[in-house]
Amino acid sequence: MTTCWAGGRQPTDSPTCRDDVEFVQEPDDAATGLRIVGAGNQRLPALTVGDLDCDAAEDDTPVERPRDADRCASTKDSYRRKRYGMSSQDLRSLDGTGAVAIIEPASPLPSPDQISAEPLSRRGFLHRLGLGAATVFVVADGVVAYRAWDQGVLSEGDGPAFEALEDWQSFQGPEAAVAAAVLAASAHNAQPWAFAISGDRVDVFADRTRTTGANDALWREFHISLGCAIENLVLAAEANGYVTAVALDPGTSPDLVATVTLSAGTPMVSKLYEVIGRRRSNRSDFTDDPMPDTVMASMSLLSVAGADLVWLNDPTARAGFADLLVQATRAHVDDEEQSMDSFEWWRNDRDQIQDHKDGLNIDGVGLSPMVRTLGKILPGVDREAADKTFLERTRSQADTAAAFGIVTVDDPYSLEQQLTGGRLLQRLHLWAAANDLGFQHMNQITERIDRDRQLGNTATFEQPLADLAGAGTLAAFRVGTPTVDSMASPRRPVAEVLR
Amino acid sequence: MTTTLNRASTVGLAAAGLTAAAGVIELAVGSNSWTGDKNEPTTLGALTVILAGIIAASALVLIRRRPTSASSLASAVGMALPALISVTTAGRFALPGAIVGVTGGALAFADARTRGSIRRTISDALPTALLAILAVIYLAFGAVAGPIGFLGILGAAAVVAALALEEHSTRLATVVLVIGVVPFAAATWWSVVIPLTAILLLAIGLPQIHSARRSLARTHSVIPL
Repeated sequence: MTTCWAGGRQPTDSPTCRDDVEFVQEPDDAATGLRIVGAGNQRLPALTVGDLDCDAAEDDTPVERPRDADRCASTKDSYRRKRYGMSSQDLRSLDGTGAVAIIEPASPLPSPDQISAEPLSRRGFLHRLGLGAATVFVVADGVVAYRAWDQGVLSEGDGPAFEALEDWQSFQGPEAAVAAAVLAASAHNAQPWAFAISGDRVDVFADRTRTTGANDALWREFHISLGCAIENLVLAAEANGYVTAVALDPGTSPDLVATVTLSAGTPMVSKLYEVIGRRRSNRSDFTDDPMPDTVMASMSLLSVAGADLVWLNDPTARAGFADLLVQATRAHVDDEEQSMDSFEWWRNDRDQIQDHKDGLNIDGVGLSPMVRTLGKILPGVDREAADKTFLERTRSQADTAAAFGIVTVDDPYSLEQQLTGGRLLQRLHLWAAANDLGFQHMNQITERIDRDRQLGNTATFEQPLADLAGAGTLAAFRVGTPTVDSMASPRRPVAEVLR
Repeated sequence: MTTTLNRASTVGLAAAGLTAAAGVIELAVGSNSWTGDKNEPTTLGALTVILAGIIAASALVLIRRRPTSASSLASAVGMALPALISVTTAGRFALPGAIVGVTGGALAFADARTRGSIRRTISDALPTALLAILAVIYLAFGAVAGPIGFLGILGAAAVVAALALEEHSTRLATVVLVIGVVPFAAATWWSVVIPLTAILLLAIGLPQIHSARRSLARTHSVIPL
């Protein structure tokens, strides 16, 4: 060691002392009773604590931010303890008493980063533990937030896949009718349509690439969906001042299912037209509220020539139909081809929704908002999980239906009657939307009937359904008061469906 | 300004220019394989330009007369992180800016080490940094949450205000933080992420506010060096 001061002499001229010692005083061990083991007022290396320049803080006494001085003091004390082996008692003695500067042989001073903290106190340990835990939680929250952001948890219904729902009334002329048609209901939200506008005529085509496969083995739902689109098209054309003439199945082209001729007339804005943009399938549980007879009577008045409506609203009929629905759904998930073809139309994340602008997704399942959000944040489901949810939800949906409605026609396999039945189904759905009723298509039984026919299986569901609803069932739905608001489903815009 | 700082600042500004160019290109050409086939190239292009602005601001911080360890460190993060994020928003177009931005960040980090203890700097700034991250989450979701989104934006502003007030009035800072943060979480209770963020904001923010007050009180008994 180099002793820079002893016995009242001036500091030595040693380079070590000259560089490191600011001032020294004669020790007074007897007076202080302290054991001085290290250096006192050595000039410390420039220290910064966070944003704080400690040298500046010292110079500006009294410092403007006393908290900073506290932090500097703590840092310098820590430095002295580590560098010179001084005790807390030694440090306290420095204030005004002076100290002998006993400097160790000149050696590079450690950098601030090399000065480790003093032995950790319990308080310090807990502080660090808290900071560490807070950091872990914030990182986890950040991951959840990113996932939630990526899945659009707080921006449901935004993006290109939903623009058609917002701007459908901004179109003019025949395009306005097409803009409404693309918002129609369709099985699995497959939107199996295409349109061509020639002057004042709109041709409605079947886009047979958009099939749901084994779920619609005999093209029943496919054509019903086209009927739904035709109904929207007609309602919108009339609201935009056209008189319409609809020719179903004109037979001039295999995929041309209807021609709607428009001629000038007086705008007729119906209540059904007004709710085209907010019609949704509601797959949530319904409340126990019974379906008033007046409501069913009003909906029955919507029937059109060639398609009728049958109600199943007494408890026995409802229970029988509900049981049949669950059986059909179980058969559906047990049929691997049907299950796979159904899952083809399932959109697991926001990117898929925005890319495809069709299909089903978790927003449409009818879950509570928090469960729906968790479903989005967690990884997407596989087919088995989707099937399990489908079966569970069907059981719950069937049990909570206030009434089941059946659209009947003479021949459920006639293209023209399928289109006509589809038009009625769309009118019923729009009426429900206009009256804040929950409405959901229940296709499982008819899907299984057609699937059994396709495969040559024993007809398991045909007769039980006929016993409940009579002959000629084309499609079924349930109505009631929903417990959860339904969400918008993605839509292909006009530009993507015009030929 | 040291040579290292000078270099870091220059490199950071170059990174900002390259990243901004990537954003403008994405805005101009739209979605293609070079931008990563994005669904929303316009939004992401604009976001890339904003990231470039953050990189530029971080580089300019270094031109201060006496940058501290903390400001150099913040500048390092402010250059490197947005530069890396820009690769996800603008695809391959952003790679040059990302490489240069990380280089600038590394230079700023090296400077920060010469100015003080990185560990201590991080430790001192950590609660504030965590609160800032949570406030950004509030702000981001507030921006897209439709009509109730303003509550999120107000919540983020309240966090900043509470931090500014913490040494003046613990009570006021506490009130501002709670009243600012809770409404958005309540309005979006079902969203999981916002209530979770609100809990963390309060769990970290309230002790931070009160520790600031305690430090102020303890100063009166500090033994000078």
